Amino acid sequence: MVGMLDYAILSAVLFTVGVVGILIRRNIITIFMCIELMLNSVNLLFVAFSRYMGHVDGQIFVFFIFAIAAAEAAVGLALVVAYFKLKETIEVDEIKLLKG
Amino acid sequence: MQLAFYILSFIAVFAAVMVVLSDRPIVSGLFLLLCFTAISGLYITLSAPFIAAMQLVVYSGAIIVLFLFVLMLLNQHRESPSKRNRFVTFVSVLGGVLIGVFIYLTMLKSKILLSYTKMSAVGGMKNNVETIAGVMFKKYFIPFELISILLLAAMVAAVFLSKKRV
Repeated sequence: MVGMLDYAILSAVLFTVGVVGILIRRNIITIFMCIELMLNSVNLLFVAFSRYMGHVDGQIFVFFIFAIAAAEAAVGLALVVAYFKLKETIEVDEIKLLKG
Repeated sequence: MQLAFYILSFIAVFAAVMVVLSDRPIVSGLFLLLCFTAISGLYITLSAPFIAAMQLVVYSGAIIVLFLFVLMLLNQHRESPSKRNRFVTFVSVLGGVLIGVFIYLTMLKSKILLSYTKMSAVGGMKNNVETIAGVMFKKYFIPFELISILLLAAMVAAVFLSKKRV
């Protein structure tokens, strides 16, 4: 039988993989992907709690997180493209200046 | 239902690990797609079909395509070999895993979480979409409108940043 704790552990594992990815990857787009992974693990926990507590409020929060994630990806990738046009690199170890 | 949970969670964790380990960003993006699709299946096992559909449309559809578009625009094939110290990488991995262990230990202390372990996930709320719509447009009406303003602001920002002169 699959209980709440199984979903919670799965969510924690996905979150940990996301954190490790952010720390060890150097390509900024891969780092964005890891952020999306962490957001997804939190979404999974929200839906699991919503299911086991019998409220749909958790699912509505997940809906809001979808919108936030879409906005974040759009703005972040636009910033990456603008930075690449100026400096020709997206390696985070090379990115030292915010001003062009 | 149990078998579905174990297969889908194995796929999700495997794909997530491959996202981190692969040194080609395009491959990472495609594994991320697999991971999102597996998580969408997990939403179905939690009897949340609306969220599962939204996951497929928003994440697997829109966000992954955005990532792959930008990767092709920037022409990034492979990460160059790391100039970082090996020790720094080791400490990063250790720190990340330690965060995961702390989350797990905190979960084991949470009474509210452990009180739900005996319940089964099978069988769920009826009329999922109808229930969500009822709550969203009554209780959460103002946050819903604010989210639409946020999306508009993000769209304007993305267009502004992508202009020729930044």
